[in-house]
Amino acid sequence: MLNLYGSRGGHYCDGVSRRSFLKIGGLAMGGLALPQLLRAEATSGVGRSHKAIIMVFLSGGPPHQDMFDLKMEAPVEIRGEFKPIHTAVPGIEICEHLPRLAGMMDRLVPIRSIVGSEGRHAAFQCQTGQTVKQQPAGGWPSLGATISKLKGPASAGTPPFVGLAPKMRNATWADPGQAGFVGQAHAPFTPNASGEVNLSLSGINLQTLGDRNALMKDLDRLRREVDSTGEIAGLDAYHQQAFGILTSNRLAEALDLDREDPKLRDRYGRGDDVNAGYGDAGPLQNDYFLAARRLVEAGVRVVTLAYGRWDWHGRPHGTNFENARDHLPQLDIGLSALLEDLEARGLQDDVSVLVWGEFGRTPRINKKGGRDHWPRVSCALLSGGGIRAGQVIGSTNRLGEHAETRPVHFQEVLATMYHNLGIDVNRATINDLHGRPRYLVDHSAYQPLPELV
Amino acid sequence: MPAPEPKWSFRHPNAAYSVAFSPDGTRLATASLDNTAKIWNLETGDEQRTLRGHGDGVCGVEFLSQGQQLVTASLDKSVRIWATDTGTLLATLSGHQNYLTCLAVSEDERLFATGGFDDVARIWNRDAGTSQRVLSGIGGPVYAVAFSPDGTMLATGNENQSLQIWELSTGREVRACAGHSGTVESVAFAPGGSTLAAGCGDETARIWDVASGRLLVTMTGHAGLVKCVAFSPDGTQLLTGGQDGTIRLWDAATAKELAKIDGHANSIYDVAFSRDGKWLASASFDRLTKVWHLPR
Repeated sequence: MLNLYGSRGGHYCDGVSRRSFLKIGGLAMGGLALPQLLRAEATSGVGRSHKAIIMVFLSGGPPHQDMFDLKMEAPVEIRGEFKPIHTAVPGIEICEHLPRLAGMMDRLVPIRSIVGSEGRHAAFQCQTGQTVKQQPAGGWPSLGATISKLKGPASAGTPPFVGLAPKMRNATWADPGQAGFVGQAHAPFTPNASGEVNLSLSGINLQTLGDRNALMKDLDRLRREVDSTGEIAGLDAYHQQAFGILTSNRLAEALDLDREDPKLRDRYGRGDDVNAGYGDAGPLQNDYFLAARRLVEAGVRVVTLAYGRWDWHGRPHGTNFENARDHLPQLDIGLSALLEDLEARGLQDDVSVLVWGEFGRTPRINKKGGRDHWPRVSCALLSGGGIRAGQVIGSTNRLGEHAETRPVHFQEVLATMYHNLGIDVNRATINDLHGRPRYLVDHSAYQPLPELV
Repeated sequence: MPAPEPKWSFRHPNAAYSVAFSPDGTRLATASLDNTAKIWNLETGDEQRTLRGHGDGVCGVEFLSQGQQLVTASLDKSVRIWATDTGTLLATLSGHQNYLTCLAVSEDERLFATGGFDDVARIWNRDAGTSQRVLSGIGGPVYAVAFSPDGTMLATGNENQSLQIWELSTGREVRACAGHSGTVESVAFAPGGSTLAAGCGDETARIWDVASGRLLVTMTGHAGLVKCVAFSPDGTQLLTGGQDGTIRLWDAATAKELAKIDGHANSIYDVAFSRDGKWLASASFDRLTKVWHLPR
């Protein structure tokens, strides 16, 4: 792990001034060798617009019927506690606890009929579109890894794929998107994951990071030190990536939220570092939304993040509705801020935002006030990337049990994401480890959503 | 009556489940789903200490020994005793086989009671650190326990709509207060011990005559579960907190609503009076614990 200590700041409500810090750990980004990265440092910035995707994974399976598909005609044991509210698009209603998103519905597309979940508590299917079972050798590549492979870096010194998920007790929710058979060179850079690599650069902080000469001296010193022990030859690609990232401060600056206008950071809602709910998933960290915007602005093509804990089986860890009252308003603040911010920067047509989870939740509320797993149908929210927004796709039956119209498979959503990045899922292939060309989705069955593209 | 502003608002990074005033009223203890308990200074508003060690949410907290110790109960199935001045863990009591959800301390502080999702209530001997009796005839997950002031009885409320009173010397059920049509979420004996209040999933709070099991009054007004109840120190008022995020103060004799505070954005899990009766505190799933001057 690399710890980059920033300037003092971060005044908390308890009055304590704490060192803000940026952790660069779990350096799972491969591909570019150190010399390339060192050269890349000298190149100019992104400058040009590029297409990008921000995927927000709602770990645990968000309740579709309490967010974007309220079932007011259902009996009380199914209907739940929330009321729908009107949105900016006449005829579309969503949960009362998502008022900001309701106000920007003309820029959103709720999908109410996601099907095909394998029912596994994992980010895997959202990241890859595939099921865990029967993977090819090396495993299915995630959306981010695939785009990394096909598109490469958008700018020098910036990885194409960043996963912001922190380490979690339930590791399957922290999965930022695996490299799979496209190889570790295309695994995400994971600045919030902890610990696989222990490496510290003493004396380097964000101030000196901005001072390239000082940085290079520090790196030279470190290289000499490890050279003298003969360890440099043993440094693997991850370590080399660490050097590379440090030599280009574009990424570090993107991740340093202290550089952002505090008012804008407030608008995003900031959030908590403490894990939400049972503690086995990630925090409700709205800074991730802001970091995602900064990363795509810096040239990252795909940013994934995990947000909160949505596996709400009920007491004694709070009912589905208590947890929803906790999570939904914060999601509403953070996500709406992200979309507004992208629009303010003219990035709305370049950046696709996708929000979803691994499955939906049971129509019937259980005795503990919770809703259990419901793989038969779930929901997603899309925005940006040039899609035709302001419409709802699909519907479920009166009780929210199954897709009644327009079932949408995970792979159709990912196909739409590929389309938004200019990738034709009917043509693009990547060779697997046996040299067999693989399509990005099962294109014989799944295409970009024609309603949107 | 206009809603008052809280004197203090203390925040955990996850839901607040329980709150207790220190005997001298200078500190507040809070328990949270963030697996910690915290102690706050009520004169300065400062966080004094965070007690870490539980492996799951902390659902109950009470001061002991004139405020020198704190007892916490956790969903991790354990009860722990801490020194408040150092935060040192002094003892851990274990025995529940499923989530432990509620805690009570007898007035002489010799006994603890806990209830859990293993459908039992346990009576613990504080000095011995052992469970001296298990009440296993409750018939459902236990949501609430309360000692009678004289320490001879325990009231339990459970998921199956039952409010039961147990004789501690024998472990025998001596009374069942029938009439709740929802989960019995919370129980509290009045200071004299002659009446018992219960908050219920049927959106009511009720006060029962302990000796006869007769229903005395019913408080209606909450829009949702009544999750917590507490008598004022003089027993004349009942404080309730609900799923609707409101705190309500009632005349315990007439069930008249005396005050309502729209104080929280989520369910209120616990309410407490200070011993002098001048302050009340509320702990909510909105992560906040607030301290209010008692509305008059």
